Amino acid sequence: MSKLLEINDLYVQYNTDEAVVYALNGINLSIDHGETLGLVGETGAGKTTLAYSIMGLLPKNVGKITRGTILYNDVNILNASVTEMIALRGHRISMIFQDPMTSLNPVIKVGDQIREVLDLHFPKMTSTEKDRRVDELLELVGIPAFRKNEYPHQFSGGMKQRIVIAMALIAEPELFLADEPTTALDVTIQSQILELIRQLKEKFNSAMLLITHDLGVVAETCDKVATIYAGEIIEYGSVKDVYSRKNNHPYTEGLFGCIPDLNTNVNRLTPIHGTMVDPTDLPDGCKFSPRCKYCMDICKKEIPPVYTVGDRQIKCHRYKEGRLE
Amino acid sequence: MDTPLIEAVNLKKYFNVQKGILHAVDNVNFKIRKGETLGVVGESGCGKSTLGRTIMRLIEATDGKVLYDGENIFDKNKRQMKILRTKMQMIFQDPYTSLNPRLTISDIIIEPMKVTGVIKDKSERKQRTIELMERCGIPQRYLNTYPHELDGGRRQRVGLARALAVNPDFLVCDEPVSALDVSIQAQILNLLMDMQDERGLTYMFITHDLCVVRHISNNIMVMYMGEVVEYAYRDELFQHPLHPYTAALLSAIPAIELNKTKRRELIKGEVANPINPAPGCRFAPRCPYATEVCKEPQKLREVSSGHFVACHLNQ
Repeated sequence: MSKLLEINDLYVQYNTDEAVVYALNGINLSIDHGETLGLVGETGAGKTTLAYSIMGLLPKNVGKITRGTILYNDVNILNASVTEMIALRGHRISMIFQDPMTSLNPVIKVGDQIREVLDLHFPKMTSTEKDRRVDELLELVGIPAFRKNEYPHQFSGGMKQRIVIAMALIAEPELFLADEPTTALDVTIQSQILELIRQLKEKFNSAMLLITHDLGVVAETCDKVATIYAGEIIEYGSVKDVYSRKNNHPYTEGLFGCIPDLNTNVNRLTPIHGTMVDPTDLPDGCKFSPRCKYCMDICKKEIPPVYTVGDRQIKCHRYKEGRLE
Repeated sequence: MDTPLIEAVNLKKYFNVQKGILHAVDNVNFKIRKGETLGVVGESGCGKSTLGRTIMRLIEATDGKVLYDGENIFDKNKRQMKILRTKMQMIFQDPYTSLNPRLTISDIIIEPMKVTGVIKDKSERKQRTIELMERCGIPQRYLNTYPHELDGGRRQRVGLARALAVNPDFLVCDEPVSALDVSIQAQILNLLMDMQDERGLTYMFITHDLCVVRHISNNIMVMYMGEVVEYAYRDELFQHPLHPYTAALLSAIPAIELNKTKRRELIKGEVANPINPAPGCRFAPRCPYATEVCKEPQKLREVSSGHFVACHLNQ
């Protein structure tokens, strides 16, 4: 069976007045039916740009896909017309955004906002059927159905995120993009929302791309994990494999070292040296090389190819000879 | 037993809001010894930032005392307070809004020296600024730049350099790393710990991140809706959390190990506002173990040496 989503050699740049921002630089990534892929990276790595590219939501005139294809069920959606995209968006592919406080319309009742998805994609559905679906979904995400006539400001952050999830799932999408769905929430609420996403994903058998900077969230939710740095996927593999913490890309290794561990006592963390590269002025060779503690001469000159190490793919010159140790 | 550097006694801060009285900080007691770090954890709205600001006297307390070296800071007049502020400083959560956008980096770091008058000589001030920048890892070329030219991590370093400018003994750090990426977060945490070793600083470290608080603290205080629900040594708290809320918080952290066997205790519901709270335990509406007893006020009890909990369980 072919993959649900396949991204090949995707390049995206933002043409701003001052400079050209190279946001994505050759992304290759695929998601299977029903699979959960975690996309991990820091601010400015291109995580959200990738999600926007899939959804066709890149800012007009500024954001431009310069190369590559995004195949959804073997059809290149980059060539899809506006009407085709509208039919796809919210129905087959849906997305929840980072900030639940700003992704709802403040002057429309939440029930009507959820219903809008049905109005758009199921014109034949009767009004009573739509009402029934909205009630059903609200109850499913843990909000009493009678609250559908309230406005977003009457709900707390966690509740708003539940409403956004209800909206994204009402059409039972095949692919569900979640862009930092729990970053703005407290830990106890975060664990409630992650649990909810997990249950619903199973119920509707959707595939999910979970974008986050939190390695812990990925460990709890995902099957596969991809690390993104400066618009490139630098490591890709199963969560089990990557979290064994052996033979990681130096950047992934660095990310693990930055998180204080709950079970061991260390005196000092081992941070990654320096800061994220400037996407308007990318270095030659490996983009992580200026911060890498294993940097070799070749790293500064040649862009590393993707090496297959066990079941994992790593974009680093260190793995030329295969596995380390 | 040496006297604590800073001590809070029955500290209260209430706000009058439309619906009644909001108990933001309610009867908080703690002591921090010199050179130690007290971690304050809790979810948003639990009063941890208000506590930090009340201790710095950035907002006036409703009741209670804060003793610095045995003296109540609320008794000080404006002039005495200015002197005291050379001893206690604060680092703020958001490095984007806590620096004046119209001052250069060197102006920002010099300002506290000027205001408090610790260093009167101009060239000496300049010299100290350069030293501080170097120590906090800000390259000298940023001396005459403005905050918007710096990234978040560097801005937080400027925030730290500014706080250290007057050579304080005590720092309140209000979520200093929450707005930063993990790789930068680790750099700043290391810097804070290095500074503590070098200068014998005392920290009150406010955060919602339990991994961070465990890493940096000696003692940890867990707050819920304005009240302290548990207070213990770091390892004691993580190994034997006694309050159901602490246990729930700990189990909610997404761990980066796989195949862990820990049971997840999801707690229902959300934090409410402590407006005109009932006398009983404020966590009871969400607590899986709540009984009739919880309607009585729960006092902090010492269950073992240095471990305090406000819950009738584990008697």
